[in-house]
Amino acid sequence: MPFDIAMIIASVVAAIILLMGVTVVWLIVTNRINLTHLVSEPVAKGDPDGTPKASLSRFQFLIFTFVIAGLYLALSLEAGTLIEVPNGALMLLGISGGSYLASKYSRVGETDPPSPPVQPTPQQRAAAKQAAIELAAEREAAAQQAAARQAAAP
Amino acid sequence: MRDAAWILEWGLLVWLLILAGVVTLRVLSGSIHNVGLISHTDASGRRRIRPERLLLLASSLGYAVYYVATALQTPLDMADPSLPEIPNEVVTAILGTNGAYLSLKLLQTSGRT
Repeated sequence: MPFDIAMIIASVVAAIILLMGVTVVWLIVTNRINLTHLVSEPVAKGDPDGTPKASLSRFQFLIFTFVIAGLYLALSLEAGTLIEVPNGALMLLGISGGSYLASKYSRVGETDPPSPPVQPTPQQRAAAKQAAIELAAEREAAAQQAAARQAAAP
Repeated sequence: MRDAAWILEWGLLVWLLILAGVVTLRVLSGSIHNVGLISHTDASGRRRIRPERLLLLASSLGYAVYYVATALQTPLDMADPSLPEIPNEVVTAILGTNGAYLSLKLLQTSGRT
């Protein structure tokens, strides 16, 4: 009985993960997930081109990730168990990840910053203040009328 | 239980291969933007191929292909299964090409701003 429950749960988890994978691939193939700028960096402020430029460090990170993940899965299937990942492979992934981060950091401040929140003009501020004063006056008058009605009531 | 794990592992491998195939095809066809991978636009707006970029691309791609070929050809040690070792010389070479690429990129960036 416990084995059956474990088997059912494992099958459901496997089905969910595979379904998610199939969905992602389907969305990529039908272009609903846009990969156009997968290896590009945003346009820099002083760039004379004005077009996004492909980033070599992103591309290298992508290649090493695919290679090591693919080989890990393939050899794990062959061995029938999870296999060891040597330090050299982890170092390669670390170098390409670090290079990607350094490349990204080198462009901080170079790309267009997000637009600041819109500040109201002095006229808008004055109109808002006037509207608030009028609203407060109306509320006060309504409260006074209600108090007078209450006092006049027998 | 083993069947579910086996199906999941095969499924993930196939998924990864499909994803790698789609990305490779799109990079080659240009649907994934690849302009500027080995070139740099100078102040006059001309695109020039940069040697450090070419070196990094060649060393990364070359070693990735060599590593895949080695891993698939070398018989797996069933007593202690592992991915093939990567020699220190290769790690140093990749580190060096990355360092050259990043330092020249930083120089170009500081020169422009």
